[in-house]
Amino acid sequence: MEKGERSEIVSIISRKLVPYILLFGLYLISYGHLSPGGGFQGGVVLGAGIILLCLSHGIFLTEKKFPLEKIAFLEAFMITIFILLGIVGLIIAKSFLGNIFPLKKIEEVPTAGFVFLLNLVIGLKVGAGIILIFYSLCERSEK
Amino acid sequence: MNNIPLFLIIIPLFTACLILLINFLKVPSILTKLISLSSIITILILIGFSTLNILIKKQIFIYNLGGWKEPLGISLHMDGLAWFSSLLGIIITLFGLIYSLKEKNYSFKFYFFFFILLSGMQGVILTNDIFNMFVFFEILSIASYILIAYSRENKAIKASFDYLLISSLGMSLFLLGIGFIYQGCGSLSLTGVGKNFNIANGIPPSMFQLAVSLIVVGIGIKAAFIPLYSWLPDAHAYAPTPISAILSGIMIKISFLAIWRIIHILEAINFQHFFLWIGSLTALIPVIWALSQTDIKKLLAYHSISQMGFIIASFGAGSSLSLTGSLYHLFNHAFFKSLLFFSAGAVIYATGIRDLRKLSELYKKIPSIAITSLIGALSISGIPPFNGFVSKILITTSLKEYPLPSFLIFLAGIGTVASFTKLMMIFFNREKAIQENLGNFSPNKIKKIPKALIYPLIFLSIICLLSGIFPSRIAQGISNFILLKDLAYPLKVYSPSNIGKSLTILGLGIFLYLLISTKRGKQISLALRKRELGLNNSLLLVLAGLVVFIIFMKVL
Amino acid sequence: MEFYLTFLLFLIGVWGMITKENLIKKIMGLNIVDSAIVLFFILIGHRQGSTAPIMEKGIKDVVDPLPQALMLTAIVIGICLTALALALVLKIDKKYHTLNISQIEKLSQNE
Repeated sequence: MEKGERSEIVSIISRKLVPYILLFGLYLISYGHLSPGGGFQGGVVLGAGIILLCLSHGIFLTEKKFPLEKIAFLEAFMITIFILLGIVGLIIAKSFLGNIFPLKKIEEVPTAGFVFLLNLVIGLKVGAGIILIFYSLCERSEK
Repeated sequence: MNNIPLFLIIIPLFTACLILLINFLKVPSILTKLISLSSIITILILIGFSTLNILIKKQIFIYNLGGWKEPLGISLHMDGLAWFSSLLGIIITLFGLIYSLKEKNYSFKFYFFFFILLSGMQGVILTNDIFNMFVFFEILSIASYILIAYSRENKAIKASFDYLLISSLGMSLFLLGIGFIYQGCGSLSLTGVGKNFNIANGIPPSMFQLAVSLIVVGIGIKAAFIPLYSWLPDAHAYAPTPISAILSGIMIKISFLAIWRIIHILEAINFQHFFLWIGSLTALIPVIWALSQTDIKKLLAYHSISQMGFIIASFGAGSSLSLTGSLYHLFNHAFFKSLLFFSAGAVIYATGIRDLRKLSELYKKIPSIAITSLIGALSISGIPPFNGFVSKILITTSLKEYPLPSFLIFLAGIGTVASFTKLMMIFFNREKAIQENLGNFSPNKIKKIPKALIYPLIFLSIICLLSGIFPSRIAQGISNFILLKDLAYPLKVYSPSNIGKSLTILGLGIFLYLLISTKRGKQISLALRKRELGLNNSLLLVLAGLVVFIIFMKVL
Repeated sequence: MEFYLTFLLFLIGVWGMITKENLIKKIMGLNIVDSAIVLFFILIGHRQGSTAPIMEKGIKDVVDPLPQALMLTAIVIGICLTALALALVLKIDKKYHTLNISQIEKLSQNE
């Protein structure tokens, strides 16, 4: 194989692997309140999945699927939502980020009030952030 | 009412996110500016609301995050000192914002990080949890690294990188100190730490000393006292002008106030006394470098360190008068240093030149800037009736018992006058006095200064004058309402002996200026300019400073 | 013993930050310092024979979870700082065409 050419094996394996990595990231986010994991860790795994795509298929193809503007918008949107949720908690539950849903037993849904919602928001924000960091370190952000 | 501390942090954070979000909707940039202004004004109104309760009724606003009380949860406390620093921060930030409105280079990213910086600042002031303080310090510093590098000039990026490395090392030391505190007393809220983390409660003395030294050195890098200041001149000089003013006017003081609170809570009295010496050395040594500078903003940045030395020395003396003097000088310095930075920024805006040697006779071309700069220079040099005079008299009076520190501070005062005479020469100098080999500056190139740049200057000048004219009321106010102590001293600031003292300093300073403008003086300046510390040596000095602090703690 | 090892790691990081000429290596030094602090905090909360603080049936002796939670925050901050530092290094490389600190300082003095 010549220098600069992509290996078929890496490309196919990573293509098959990425959905499972993303799924694992979502799992970490959604079980963050019960087991090790949570928004940040799950978000990093989500970001790592996309970064794997970048490494195996090149950044051009990845940016076509996941455009920089949309990722940046997702990040900005999620952090605003997070603060808005906090303020909603302040109004309803009398404390910032206070729980607004009824609390139930461990097997029931929603288990931990709106911790799941916060974890989801944080996870998407962190995933978008990690991808953005990677894009801009690849100096693609300036175009 | 108890939610006010929370809103002071949340509103800037939310504004920052909103600015980021509306940028995607392709709205005109005027909306960004409107949102920024209205958010800052909202915060100002909130602080205004809390005035009565905090100052007169001596109430402390406590907000427990998530409803968890101390020592389990994080709580935000807003007492007199926090009210004072919060208000000061907001006022200077407001002026910085007004100043930056006309600049076209500042995109939404500038305002985003501007508000993140503000949020971090309010957080450091208000939080009562030591790890939370670390987090807010990091938010504050990450925003400031980016803002310093905002112009993307070579030196700005280099300065930002230097600051990043030095300050991250400092923050690591701070975190290590927090680790020792948690190991010692198992609590992280400042109230709990104050109760449990002292030698009387069975904490080993060496651990106590180590933790205090680590924390003080860690935050001290941001407060920029000797020997931890070497990052400051470049970072403050090459930042955009409103950011320079905010960094110099507020950020270093907030770090210092954090040290103030931690030392008071840990009751490290010996340590406080050590600051008398640190402060007086910090007042003197940067002035020597400031005298040799040719860059306008760098000269001002060196003077920020030196004025911090006055504040720290006065804090170290520890009597009620000297603490009042310290806070009063902190208040004054925030105003006159931002006034000076804004004026310098206006000069650079109008002429495009930052080298002192190339500028002359600007009084004829931009008289308004010349007058405001003169007011700033008179204030910082301590000439009556401006505010610097009052607070410097308070400081020198309170340091009377300590001959050597007060002598060092006297020398620093002379150096200040000399270097500001040098700065003022760009306005009042004759054209022929310029050296020919530096290239000519043609007067036609001067740009017209927009009004948004001049309004903050006028307001700040008025504040400088007013807080100089009513010294005793402000001093009593600071002492009674913020420090909660009676000022056991009859204030006669404008006595003939005090005025005589300040005029002596003025005379000696002008004499020193004449000395340094001789040929020999210029050679020495050139040699000094080349002897600035590199990054490696600065990092080494941080460690050396830590060792000195630990040894000092051991000896006492 | 472990405390001394983390302290050694801390010193190695600081040594890297101070003596290495290459900017990337300085950032690596910073990361080593961060790791040392993370280990230090984990050690504070640790007790021999205790398990992870996931409260299920039959688990009694757990480590102190607070230092671990604190360290998650510190790691997040460390990531941000590293990313920012690397971005600045990219810019420095573009402007000065070198990553050697003494050369950069020489170049920036001559400007």
